[in-house]
Amino acid sequence: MEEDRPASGGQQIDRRIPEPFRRFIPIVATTGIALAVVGFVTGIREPLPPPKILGTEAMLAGSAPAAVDYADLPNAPWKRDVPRSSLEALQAARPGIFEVVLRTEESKQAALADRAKNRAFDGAPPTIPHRVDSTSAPACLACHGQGLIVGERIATKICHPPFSNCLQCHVEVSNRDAELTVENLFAGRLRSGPGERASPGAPPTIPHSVFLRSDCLSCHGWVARPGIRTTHPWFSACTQCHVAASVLDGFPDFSSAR
Amino acid sequence: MNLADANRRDFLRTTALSAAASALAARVSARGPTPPGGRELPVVPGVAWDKAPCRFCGTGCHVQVGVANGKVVAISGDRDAEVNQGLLCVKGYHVGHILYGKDRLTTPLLRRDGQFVPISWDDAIDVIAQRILAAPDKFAFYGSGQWTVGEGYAANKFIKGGLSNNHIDPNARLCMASAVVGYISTYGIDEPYNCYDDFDHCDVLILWGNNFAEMHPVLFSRFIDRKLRGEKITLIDLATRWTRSSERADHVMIFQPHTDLAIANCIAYQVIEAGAVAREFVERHCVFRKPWKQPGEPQTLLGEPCGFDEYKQLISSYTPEAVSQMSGLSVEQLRLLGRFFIDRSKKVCSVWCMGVNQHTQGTAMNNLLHAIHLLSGHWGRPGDGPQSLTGQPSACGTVREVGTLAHGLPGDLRVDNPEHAASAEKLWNLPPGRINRKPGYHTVLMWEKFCTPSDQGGDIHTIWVQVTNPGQSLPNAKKLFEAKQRLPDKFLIVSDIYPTTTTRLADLILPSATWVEKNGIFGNSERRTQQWFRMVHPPGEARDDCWQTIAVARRLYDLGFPGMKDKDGKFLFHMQDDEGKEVEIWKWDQYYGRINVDERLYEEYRPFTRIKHKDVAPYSELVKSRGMRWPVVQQPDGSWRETRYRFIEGMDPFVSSGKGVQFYYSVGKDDRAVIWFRPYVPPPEAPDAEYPFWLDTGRVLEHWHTATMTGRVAVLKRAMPAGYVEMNREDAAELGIRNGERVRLHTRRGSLELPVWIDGRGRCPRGHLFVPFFDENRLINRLTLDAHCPFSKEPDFKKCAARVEKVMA
Repeated sequence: MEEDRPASGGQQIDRRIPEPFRRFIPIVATTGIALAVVGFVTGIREPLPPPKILGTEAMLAGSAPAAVDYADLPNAPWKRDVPRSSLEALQAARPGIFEVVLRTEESKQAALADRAKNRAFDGAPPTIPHRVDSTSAPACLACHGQGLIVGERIATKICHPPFSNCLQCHVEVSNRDAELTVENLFAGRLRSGPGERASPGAPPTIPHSVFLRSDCLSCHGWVARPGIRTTHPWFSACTQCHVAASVLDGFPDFSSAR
Repeated sequence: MNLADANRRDFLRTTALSAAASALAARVSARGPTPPGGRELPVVPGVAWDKAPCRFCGTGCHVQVGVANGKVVAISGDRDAEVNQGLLCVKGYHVGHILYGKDRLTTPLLRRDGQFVPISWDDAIDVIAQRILAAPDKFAFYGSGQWTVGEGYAANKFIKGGLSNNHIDPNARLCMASAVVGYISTYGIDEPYNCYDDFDHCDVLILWGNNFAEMHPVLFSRFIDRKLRGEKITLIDLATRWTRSSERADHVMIFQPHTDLAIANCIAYQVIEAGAVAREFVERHCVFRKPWKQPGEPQTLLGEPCGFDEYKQLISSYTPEAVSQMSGLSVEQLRLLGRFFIDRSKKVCSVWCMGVNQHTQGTAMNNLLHAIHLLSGHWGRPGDGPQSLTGQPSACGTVREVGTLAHGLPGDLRVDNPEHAASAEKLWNLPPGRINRKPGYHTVLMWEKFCTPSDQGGDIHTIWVQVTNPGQSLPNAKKLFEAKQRLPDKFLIVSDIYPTTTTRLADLILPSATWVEKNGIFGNSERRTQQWFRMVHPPGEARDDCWQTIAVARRLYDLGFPGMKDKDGKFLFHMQDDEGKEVEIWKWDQYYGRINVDERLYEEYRPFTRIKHKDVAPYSELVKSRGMRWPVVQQPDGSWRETRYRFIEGMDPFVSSGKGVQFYYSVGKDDRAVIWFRPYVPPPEAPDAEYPFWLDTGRVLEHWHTATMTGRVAVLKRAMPAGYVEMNREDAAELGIRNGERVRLHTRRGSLELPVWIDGRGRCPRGHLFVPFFDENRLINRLTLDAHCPFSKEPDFKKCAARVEKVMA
């Protein structure tokens, strides 16, 4: 559901091969050639290589690495520093609730800017910045159900009660390079703005609607962008101190004609 | 606002704790008391929120529109709305963007020597008036299921009451005309008797050729999310290709296109075979009809009465074994379908949209769906019945209820019914005989006549298009639209908000206001009438379509055209303020001001709806609500009550007491619904050696119809950038085509180059192709067939024969 791009600008794929691995180059190369030969032979027999969804290449430039087809393994552009492990291991590797959170103004601004990237306005459902192979809710919830950290990427926890048709609201932006035929001048509010504090040190109010954003931990929990994490995730009753008071959560009354 | 801002800190400081309590309470009760500060609670500084129905499909979700500094800045689902209960789809969340494409039309443009030159509104109105004066009977209005009620009403009154001309038809002819005729020939009166509550109550939901998950996502969620709550519900996807709806279905049944007629008849066969006919219900409330006297004769709309035994005889050839051969479904699948109808303990809801309606046997197919529900008694309980859905926000509200059809008058009345026409003349205060008793041209015929040279019988010489894009959405577009290019004496007027495929051939383009740039009323698929107010100003000189119509009417009045006066010589759209002074609403600066023209038109229209017991709610009630389902009837205590289910005692106020169920507008004037026999009829074009594929067209989640709006929204455009053709993997392999490669599709009407998508969003069975129609650069409707249902005149966009040719790079 949430964006899971790296919080800092570390998107560049490191193409240099680390020293200890260099001696494996001949082996890798040989394997590669062998696979190429096998691939060639297979290619003669089978006219169709595994299909690529439209826009795959354009996708790879700007988002999470896509799952790699078996035949493409030797040439897959994956990151070597991303731990390749099971979902269980990734889930176990989530930061602990008592881990110290360091927040700076810079990290906060970075987190907010990052968050605004895949929303048309504050309150719009975020777009999906990675490939989607399975469209079922359980597939989405595997990562987004409790939130997950994979390398530098964060799959944020779902912030509303689960619905079963995720792609009704969240669409895969599979072709980031697709040009709009014409520019759109809609200027939405990208940030809900800071909450109000009654006095320095007092808990801030919630500056945004909490409708469909009812799980505070999605953005502010310990599996979230560092800049907007809570410093005290062990208090679980957020609204005890933070007041939800947006107009949208109040009582809009449209009974008066104008 | 300034005052509110100044008080903001104080307010928050002193009431933080109590606000916490009240805000939490707010989420529990949707319409509780107003908190201190009410709507002015300035937590989102400068943003004012107001309700509006979504601009897109026929579901009729309500959104909250956030406006700051005269611009829409945010959209949220409206939790007070029963339809969507706070949820939207991705289009809805981005509906605010549709106002702000950079190329909004902002000034009237007239084509001179092949170039568009800006002209004044005054000149534009004059151009139209002169075209009409030259030949009032050769003028046509092509409207829309996106017209607001007021716009459609004004256009209908203008042409039928003013020009005595019935050449007005909407794009909804391409969309739900078959459903209309299906309802009328079954129940005697149009529109669903039931409502969306069915999706909350049914045990089994059958999708008849309907990709519910993408086309009506909010309603789909309303149904499918019940699974999350542990309810035992079954989804059956009867389809011609695998879609996102299939992914959630418990049973996916892929059938051969056009054999849905046989499948429905097979269900009726099994109900009879199992002795599961709802005998008491059928005997008391239904009659049987067949479409001709003898098989082999042409079918007629109202057919011939027949007895149950004859019906049984007619249906006897539709055995599961025989239908399995035809449809490609297995006998087990057909038996499974039959069992749902045989078992009355389960509530079965059938839902359909374009798959059934865009069909050369569209009326027949609609008749059959009602028939299997009536016959088996799966009718009448909430969750147990057949329901058609519409694709446009006011296909029901404006087209079906206001009667903007070639034969229609407001209130579901007909021009060719003398009594109806006389009632309309009386309500409009017109001299008797003003309304032409002969129906005008339906959509396909209207465009055919427009695209035919005048000396060869092409007797439509001017068409005014409002709120739709026929250049992209008409079938067989080369014949029905593009041929206009070679006819210099024909004149096309287009009112729109953006340049479209249609404006390319326009002679006069008028810039329109849209959605929350104007006051408006829509009516959704479940008879719900929904109102909103203007919240922002349209850009440049863009103005309401309704004002445009009234301004032309006034110009004709000023030029002495007699039809623009009522019996007493008053202007057709005469309106006066509270002091009795006439308001010159044909002047733009007076259109919004002393009176609410939208409200006046609606209240003028409302008496029509009482004639056939379709009483819509008063405007003042609509303002307070998130829409109300008609008939809306005042209670003894003065309150207004909506109707969830019609024809059922206790729910519908017009059913006589003791009747239980009463079809009070029935075909035979006997209070009974018709169970139709309609035979399988082969399609007009089917795959053959030369054109071996079925070509199906349709929509996708992210784009709405021709994407003139959604194509200008970055999120939607990037999610679904361009048209494609879906193809079966094995078919592609046989032709040596890989995923993403380009092919050229050919039909007997045209050809088009497209990239191939294999196993993507949808999956076609062998021999089947699917192309979405949203892409203005890849006009698939240049290839589609204009053959249409003989009764509803709705074309079949879903089936024609095509050939695929690989394009060498």
